[in-house]
Amino acid sequence: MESLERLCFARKYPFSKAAFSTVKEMNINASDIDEAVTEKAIKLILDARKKKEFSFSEASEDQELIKQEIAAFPVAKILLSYNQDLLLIKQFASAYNKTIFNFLEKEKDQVLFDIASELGIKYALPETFFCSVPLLSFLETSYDEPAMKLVNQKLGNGSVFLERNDFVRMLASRASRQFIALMPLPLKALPVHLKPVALDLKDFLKSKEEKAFEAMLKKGQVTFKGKYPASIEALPPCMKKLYTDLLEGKKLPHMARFALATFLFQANFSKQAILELFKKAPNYDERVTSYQLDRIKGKESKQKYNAPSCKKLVEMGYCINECRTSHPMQYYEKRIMELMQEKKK
Amino acid sequence: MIDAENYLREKFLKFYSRNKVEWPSSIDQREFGFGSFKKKIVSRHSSFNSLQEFNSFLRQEAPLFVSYSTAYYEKPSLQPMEKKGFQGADIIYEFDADDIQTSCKQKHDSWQCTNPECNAKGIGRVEKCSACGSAVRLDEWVCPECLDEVKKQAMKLIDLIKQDFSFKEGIKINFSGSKGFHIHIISDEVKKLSNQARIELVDYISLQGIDFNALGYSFDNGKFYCPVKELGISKKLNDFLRNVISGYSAEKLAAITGSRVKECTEFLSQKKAILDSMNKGTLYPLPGRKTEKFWNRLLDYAVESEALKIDRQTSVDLSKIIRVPGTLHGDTGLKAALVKDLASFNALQDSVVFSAEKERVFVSFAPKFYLNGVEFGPFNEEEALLPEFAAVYLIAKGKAKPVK
Repeated sequence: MESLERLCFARKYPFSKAAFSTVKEMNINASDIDEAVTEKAIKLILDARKKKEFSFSEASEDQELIKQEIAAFPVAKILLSYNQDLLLIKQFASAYNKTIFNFLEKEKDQVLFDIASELGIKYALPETFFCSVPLLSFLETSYDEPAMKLVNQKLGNGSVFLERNDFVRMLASRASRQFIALMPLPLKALPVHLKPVALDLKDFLKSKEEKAFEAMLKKGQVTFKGKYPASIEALPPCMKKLYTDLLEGKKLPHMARFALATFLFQANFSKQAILELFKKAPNYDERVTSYQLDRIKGKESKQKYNAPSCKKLVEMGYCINECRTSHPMQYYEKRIMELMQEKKK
Repeated sequence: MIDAENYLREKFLKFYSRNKVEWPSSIDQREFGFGSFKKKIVSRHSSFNSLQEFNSFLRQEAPLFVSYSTAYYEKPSLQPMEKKGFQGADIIYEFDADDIQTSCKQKHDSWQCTNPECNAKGIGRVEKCSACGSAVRLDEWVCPECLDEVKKQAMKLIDLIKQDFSFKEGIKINFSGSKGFHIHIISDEVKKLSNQARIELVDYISLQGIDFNALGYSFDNGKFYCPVKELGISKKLNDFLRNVISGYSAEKLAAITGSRVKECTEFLSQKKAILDSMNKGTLYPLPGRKTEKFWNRLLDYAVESEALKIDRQTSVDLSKIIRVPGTLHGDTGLKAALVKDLASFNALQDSVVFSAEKERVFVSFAPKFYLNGVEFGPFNEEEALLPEFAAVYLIAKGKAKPVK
């Protein structure tokens, strides 16, 4: 591979051997990372936060610039690790997944197979499909797209038979899952001088919508009752994910909306506050939502619903973290206490 | 009268003193739990270093229920669960007669209203009290008919495990000792499967999250397409559709699809054309605008019929403990017997361990039931002279008391 071609490949696929060896060859001093690289790392994170793919200066043939963009990826991992925000890491992984998918789609078949080998995926080339992968290898990756569920695959004799597009999807998902599996990096191994950069970024990243919602809570435009101040920051990872998905206008399945609504009620958010949040849902219908919230709260029936336990959330597939709790409220109450202590200090 | 629990414990002691339980493998990495009369789990977080130690415990204590973890732990007796050090888990699929609709339930099951002011009762199965609409308490029994249905489902699953998943080693089947079957897959390759991967396998078996479009069934511009490259689920669904076309009557097809019998008669008169069309990737059109609705309903019906009714919780909850094969079930006194050949296995005969020696019992209620090839009952508030195995069965079910 020519040098420029190799660099471009390394930039597209940060998990590749080419990317690792390029970073190694750059001999970066961990205590003195180039500001331009840090800026590019922040840009990657901001792209991810905006639910965009990573954007690179693709037209440029400036090798120094490309190298900076290659180095930006491991630096972004460091910043994300300092932030310890699992949702942000997931968003980054999702942008990473999309970026790789778009690059892979345009590659020649041989490149796809080479990438598969780099990702440790064994494949075979049956006559009537693009390729096949062993069932257990397919299951090592979990997929966001319902169409990629095993039940929607062509499965036979322990192999999943894939068309090109699904194979590309599998490769991109595998790369992003491998990324998530290693994140956050152990704090001890991170260069200290990037910590202030990470903390500034954390503050900056508190999304406008989150701020707006909390401002409404503060102003009393939406209310809550109870012994604790309602706080989005204190939400357990699973509920924060559902909450953010709602804010981003994603259509949540019924059980996810049910889990979130029951949790918010239990956390003493008012019906008004929850309605305000559910307005972001693409299929929002005020009358129906209001009725359903009344049912959950027990206003329209004798039955009052509590939020599902962690065990149930695992079963429903909404658990995204190992919080070591048996119920999401335990996490919430503990976090609220911590936040109140922090404020006192 | 002798206390039912003591009676059963005596019988179980006799069994464990004469029979050795050879399950599970890697016993030192498993968590165990035990139950008493009508309580499946009273204590858990126990562990044993060897099968010998386990059997000696059974001979001493004769618990009425013995359960173990399908998970492997570094330190199985520690609590809470996180401290045990999860090392992996077998795969377990559970079928229960209660989850499968069969007509026999209308004969042997009964219900009683939970509302004390109503207290209505009846034969069969109902969701709610027919008199006042309150919740009901079901009295569930099994018979050869419903256990045969469970067996059919289990056999289908074993085919699927072998053919689709290609898991050929370490498949073990046991009767639960009560109402169903457990299928274990014990191998290094499945031991390390993630929870998410296990959910995907369960969804595949129970057809949860199926997306017809993704499988190649799509309606576009007046044409309903179906997959030509048939494998896995698409093969099962296409085969099901072919069976419907080849073997169903017009009346049955009309009922499933909400069409008129006359339309279905005309439709079925073109069987060859319909099947040829499927082989070429198109579902045969119906007159007017009915094609989409007709085939969608038939596909929904196919999914409903082909989905295997496994207990999702048992497969997905890795901290769950289940009956140890080879031990006795405290609700029946039947053995959770390992099954060598499922086709010829007769659950209500091959799992009977107690003798035919006659014992006198007072039966509060029992419908007609079958055990060890013999028909008993019905009984209602009466004394009966029964073989030991039937006496144990009714006493364990809480339907009879021993009489000296």
